[in-house]
Amino acid sequence: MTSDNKYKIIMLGDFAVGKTSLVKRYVLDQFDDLYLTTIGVKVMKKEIVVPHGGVSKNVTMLLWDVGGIFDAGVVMTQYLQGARGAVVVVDLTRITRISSIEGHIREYRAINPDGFLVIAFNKCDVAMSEDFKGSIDNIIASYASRYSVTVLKTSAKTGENVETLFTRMASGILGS
Amino acid sequence: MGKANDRTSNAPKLEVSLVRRVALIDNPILRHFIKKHKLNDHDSLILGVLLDLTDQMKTPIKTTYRAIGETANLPTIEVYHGVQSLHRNRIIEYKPTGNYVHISFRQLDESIEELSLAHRNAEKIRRIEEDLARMHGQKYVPSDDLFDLIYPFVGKLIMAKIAEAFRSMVNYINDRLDSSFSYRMWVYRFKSFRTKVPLAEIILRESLPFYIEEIFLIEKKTSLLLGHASRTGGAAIDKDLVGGMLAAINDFVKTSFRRGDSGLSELHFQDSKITIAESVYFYAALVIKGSPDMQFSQDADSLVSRIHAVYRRPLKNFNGSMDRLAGIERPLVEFIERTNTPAAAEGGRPLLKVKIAGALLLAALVAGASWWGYTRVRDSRRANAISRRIQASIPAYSQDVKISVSGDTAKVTGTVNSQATAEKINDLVRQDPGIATVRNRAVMADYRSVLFMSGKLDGLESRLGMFELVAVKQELEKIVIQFPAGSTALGEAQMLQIRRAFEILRPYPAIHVDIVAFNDPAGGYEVNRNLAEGRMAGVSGYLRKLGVEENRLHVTAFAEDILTSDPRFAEFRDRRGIMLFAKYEE
Repeated sequence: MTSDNKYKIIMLGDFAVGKTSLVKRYVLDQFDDLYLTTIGVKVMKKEIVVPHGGVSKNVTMLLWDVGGIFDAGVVMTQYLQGARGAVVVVDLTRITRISSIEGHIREYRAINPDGFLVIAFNKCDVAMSEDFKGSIDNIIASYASRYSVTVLKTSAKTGENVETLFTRMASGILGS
Repeated sequence: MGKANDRTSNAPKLEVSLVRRVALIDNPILRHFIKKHKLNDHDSLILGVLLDLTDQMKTPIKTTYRAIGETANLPTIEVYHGVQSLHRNRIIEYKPTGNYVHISFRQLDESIEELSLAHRNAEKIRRIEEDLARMHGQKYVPSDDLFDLIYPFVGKLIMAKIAEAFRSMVNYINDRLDSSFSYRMWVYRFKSFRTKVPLAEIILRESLPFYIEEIFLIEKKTSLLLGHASRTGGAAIDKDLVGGMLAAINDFVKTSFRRGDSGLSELHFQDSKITIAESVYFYAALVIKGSPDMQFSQDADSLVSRIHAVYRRPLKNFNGSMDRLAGIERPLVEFIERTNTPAAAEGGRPLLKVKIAGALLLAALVAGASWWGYTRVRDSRRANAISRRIQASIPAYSQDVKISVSGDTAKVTGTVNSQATAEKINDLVRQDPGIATVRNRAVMADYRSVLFMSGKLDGLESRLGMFELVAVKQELEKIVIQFPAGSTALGEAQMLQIRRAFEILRPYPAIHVDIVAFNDPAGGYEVNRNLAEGRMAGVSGYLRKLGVEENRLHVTAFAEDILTSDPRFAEFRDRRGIMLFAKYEE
């Protein structure tokens, strides 16, 4: 597929929230995970066709999976350069760490003020009570309205909303 | 500006050390403004402070004139006049509110990256000019305003200087080589005369063979692959991913080692290396095998400059859309072709000439092959005729010779029983009109001696065969093909062992093998029979598939009496797996 558009997308989130699993569920993966532990990033790729303005657009997304062990230091800042979109991943089972979303968004916005953001509440396949589900939905709605971004519940395990997540990302960048 | 300068003359004396400190700041943006607007020391000082406070023009600030004055060590009134002066020069915007003043920088016409690069290139030019001045041994006067030159003009100037240095070196080598008279040197001289390329350059090219494997063109800001070209036309791995990872490694180097704007310039791996040629908006990563000549770096920079010149506008505002970059890969492909085929770079040969040369070569090959075939047939017929004549004239018990003919020379090998027989053979050979020389290498021996020696040789052959068998047997007995519990299927591990056994057996087609299964005796034979037989059949089948003839493979029955009575198996009874035992056919 020849590409009309190429975008760098960065995956942000704390350690072990499922960034790598989400990307792996979705993409062409040709490099060893050793890169992630050595230089803190691994690049994967997905080519899709997205309808835009009445025509189909070929979009190539280069997904930069950044190791969550890196704090918001210099390495991270360099990797954020030129990213047209960011997926901020949160672990639904560690909801107490949800406030870290703000830090990741601030980091990304500082370098890419016009970049497109999607928040993924991952591991939604884990069984939870109806009360807890209700609380989660409220939290998700509050983040969606506070940052005016797309928020999705995803599962790298079952594949729920994984395709949608990246398709929305591509459409969002094309439309921005 | 004149007004500002008048003001300066009446100002209190400045702290000279502070002005120097600001002047010495290696800040291309500050230097750009100073040069462009011919700013005086006061304004330069205030501008330097403002650049620091606004994080190099990125962030608007709210401050007071007094605070700026304290930082710059200037009276508040001077800061006030300085800010107004900078505003008049359209460098900054300012808006007083109460006790504060809001200051922001106006948009620059040139990008900061361009200014930085121009500054760096100016430094490079200065160093090259110093080198050249030393080389020529004369005082060199540099141009007075190099800093105002911006990319790509600066890049071209640097290339011109490097080319000049390269030519100087070529001339130097030429002088040194003129007195040399070796054969190889004459070959180089002829090539130089034919191609009009300087002798020294030809020697360099011949001495340092290299070729470009791939070129990746990567946008600096987004790290996205803009274009790619490969020597082989394809890539084993996705080129976008390789480009992305290359950019990631470059970013890693930049930040981890605090390299600022400069990342990798070269990356070595095995016999290859990646060389980076940089432009303002992109860089080219060239994967090279071998040792590039001195011209190569200049050529790579020239390639980058050409691409920059053509695609400058779309790259400046690159947003991921590849539509405006159509054709960006063509110069990469051409560069690989031109660099990897020096003959073409020297003008090449016209296609017609190449075709004629090819046709002549083919005709010469056909003629040569025909002549060779004819002489072989002629010599063979002549040798047969001579052999027939010898057989008809000399009894078979007194000679056992072979005749071979090459042109007008005949060679006799084998055995004869006496000197008289040898001479008679020589005479018979010479009767052939085409033979001028006879080389008789026949050995004189009587039949009893020959038969005795033949018997000795047979015995030796037999003993050698036994040595071979022992060696093969010992090697095979080191291999125990083990299977997972309850399985007869051949996995990768089992097949690897069998292939090892096959490699041991391959040179000895006369050797047979017994295939034997050993198990834990405590487990019993009846229980494990199906498993053992299945495994032996699997091993036998795979050996057949590898090329061992079926009649050489003997599967041993899995029975206690057989396994315990055969002395060959005694020391292996506690093994768990399939083993192979070499033997000669019974």
